[in-house]
Amino acid sequence: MSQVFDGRLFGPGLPGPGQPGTAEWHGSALCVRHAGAEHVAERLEIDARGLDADQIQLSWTTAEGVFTFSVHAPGEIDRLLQAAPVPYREPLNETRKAHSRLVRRFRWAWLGFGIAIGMALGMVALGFALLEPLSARLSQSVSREHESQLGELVLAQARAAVPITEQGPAVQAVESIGERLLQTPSYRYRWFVADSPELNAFAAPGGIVVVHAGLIRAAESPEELAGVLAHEVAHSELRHGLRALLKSMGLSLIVAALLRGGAEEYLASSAAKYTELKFSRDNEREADREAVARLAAARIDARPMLSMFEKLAASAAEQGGDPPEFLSTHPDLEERIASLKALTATQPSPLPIAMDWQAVQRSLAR
Amino acid sequence: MAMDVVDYEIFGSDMQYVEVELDPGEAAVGEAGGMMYMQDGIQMDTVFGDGSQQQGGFFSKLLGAGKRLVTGEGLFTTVFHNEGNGKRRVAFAAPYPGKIIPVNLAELGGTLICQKDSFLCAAKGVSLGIAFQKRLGVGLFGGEGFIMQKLDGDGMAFVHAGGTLVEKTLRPGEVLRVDTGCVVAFQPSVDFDIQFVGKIKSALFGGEGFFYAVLQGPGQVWLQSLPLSRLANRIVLAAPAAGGSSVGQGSLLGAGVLGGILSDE
Repeated sequence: MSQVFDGRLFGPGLPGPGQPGTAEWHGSALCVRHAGAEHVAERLEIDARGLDADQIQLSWTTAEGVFTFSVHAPGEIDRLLQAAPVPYREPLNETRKAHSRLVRRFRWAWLGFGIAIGMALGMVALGFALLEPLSARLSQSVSREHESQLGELVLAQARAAVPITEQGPAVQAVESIGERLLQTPSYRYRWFVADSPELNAFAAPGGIVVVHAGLIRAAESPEELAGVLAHEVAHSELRHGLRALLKSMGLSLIVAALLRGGAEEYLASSAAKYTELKFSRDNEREADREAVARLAAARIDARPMLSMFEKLAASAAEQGGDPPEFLSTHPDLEERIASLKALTATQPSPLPIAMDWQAVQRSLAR
Repeated sequence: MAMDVVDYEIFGSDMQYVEVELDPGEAAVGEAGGMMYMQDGIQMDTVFGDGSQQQGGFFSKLLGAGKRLVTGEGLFTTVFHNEGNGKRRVAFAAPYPGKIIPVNLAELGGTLICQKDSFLCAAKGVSLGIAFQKRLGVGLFGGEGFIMQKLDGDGMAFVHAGGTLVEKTLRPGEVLRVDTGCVVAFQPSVDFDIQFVGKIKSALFGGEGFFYAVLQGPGQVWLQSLPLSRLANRIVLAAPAAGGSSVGQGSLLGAGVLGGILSDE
C-alpha cells in the first residue's frame, strides 16, 4: 500500500556527495534504505531546498548526527506527497508552495522587466510619432517677434560661413519678385544674397530669405528664380523653419510641451544648427503646393520652376553632392516634380516679369 | 545513455591542463578552443549543440545549441573520437590561472550545477544544459548571475576556475558563508541563497560587498579563491597602458585603489 520513492541520503558516515537510497512511509515514520542498511526516522524536519527550492529535504537527528534524505525528481516527490502521514502534510505542502512562489516571482520579475523595456521603447516610439504634431502645436505658441529673433541668430550663423549682402541689383531683383509673391506677409520680410557659387537658397524663421549667388547665375529667367523664391516664401509663411527647429529639440520638445512654454529658451541653442536641418517630406509637399498657389496669385509663370528644379537636381548629381536643401534628399524628387507638373498644368495666363535679367546676372559676375 | 569511461591525468600546478586517455571508439567533448594537443588517431569533429543527443531531432539540437549561446559558449562543441587501435590521449588546457577539478557525476547523483564558462571537457554523453537561478536576490547579487550551467550524466567532467579550487563537503544543515563570486559549483541538494552582510558599516567599508552567498548542506560545493574578474581588475589597476598606475612592489600601500589614490600618477 505504501509507495517507495527514490532520493539521496546524506549523513554521518556516508560519503560527502551522499548516496542514492529509497524511502517509504510507515505510519508516521520514514523508513530509508540504502546499500542494505535501513534507517527509521521520526520527528522529521521538512525543508524546501536546492537551486529553485524544488527539492524536499527530510532531516532527522540521531545520536550520530543529522541525516538528510533529499528527494528531487518530480515523480518521486509526487509519491512522497501521496502517502505522507497527516502531521507532515502541512509542512510538505508548504515546501511545494515555496517552490511555486519562487517560480512565480521569477516569472513576474522577468515579465516586469520585459514590460519596463517595452514601455521605454514605446515612449521613444510615441515621442517620434508625436514630434510632428507637437512641433506644429508648439510653433503656434512661439511669437512672431521671437521667431524673427531666431531668424537673426540663424542669419548670424550663416554670415559666419559666407559673406551675405543686403544691397545691390541682385538683392533688389530678389526683393521685387519676392514681394510680388506676398499678398499679406506675416513678417517684415528681408532679402539677402549670399556670395557663394552654390545653387542654393534657404528661408530662416521670421521672414528672412537668403539666395546664393550661384542660383541666380544659373537661373535663365526671373521666372526660374521666382519658382525657388515661392517655395522659400511658402516655407516661411507656413513656419516650417520654426517647426524644424522645434523638432530638432527632440526630447526636450516634449518636456517643453509638458511645461507649457519654455520652448523659446531651447530654441536659441538649436538655431545654430539650422542650416543642417531638413524639412520633412510633408512640409516640402506643402511648400510646393503653396508655392504654385502663390505663383498663380502673382500671375507668374510656374513652369520655369520645374525646369529650375530639374536643373538644380542635375547639377547636384553632377557634383556628386547632396541636392540643395530645398530639394532635400527626398527620394521622391521625381514624384514631387510630377505632382508639380500636374499643379502647374491649369494655370491662368501668366504675365512675364519685367526685369533686365541680364543686368542682374552681370552684377553678380566675378 | 552509456557514458564513455575516461582515464585522465592533470598536469601543472597553477596553469593546468588535463590529459584524457581515450580507449578505441571512446570520445570526449570539449569547449571549442579548449584543446591543447591530441595524439595521432584522434579525430576531431565539430557538432552542433553539446553532442549528447546523438539521435535527437534537429530541433532538440537547435534547442541545445541555443541554450549554449545563452550561457555564453559557442554554438558548437568539439567531439574528440579515438579512431585508432590503441589508447590515445587528448589534452585540454585551462584558459587562465586556476585549477582543474575532475568531477565524477555518477558519484554526485548525475547532476552538477556550476557557474557558466567553467566547463572544460567531459566524457561524451555528458549533457551541458543551463539552469536558471530563479531566486531573484541570488541572481542579482549572488555573483553568478541568473544563468548557471548544468552538467548531466554519469561520466567524468572537468571544471575549471580561478586561483585555488577547494572542494567542501557540507553536512546536513551545515552552513558556509562565501564571498559572492567564489562559488564555482555545487550539488543540486545544496541550497544557494544570499544574505545581507548585516551592518551598513561592514557593507560599505568591509570590502566584501553587500551580500554573502550562503551555502547550506548537505552536499558538495566547490569554491574558487580568485575569480577571474577580480584578477583582471587588479591587473587593469596595475597596468599603466589601461589607465592604471604602475605601483612599486615594495611600496607600503603598494596595491589596489588606495595605492592609486596616494601615488599621484
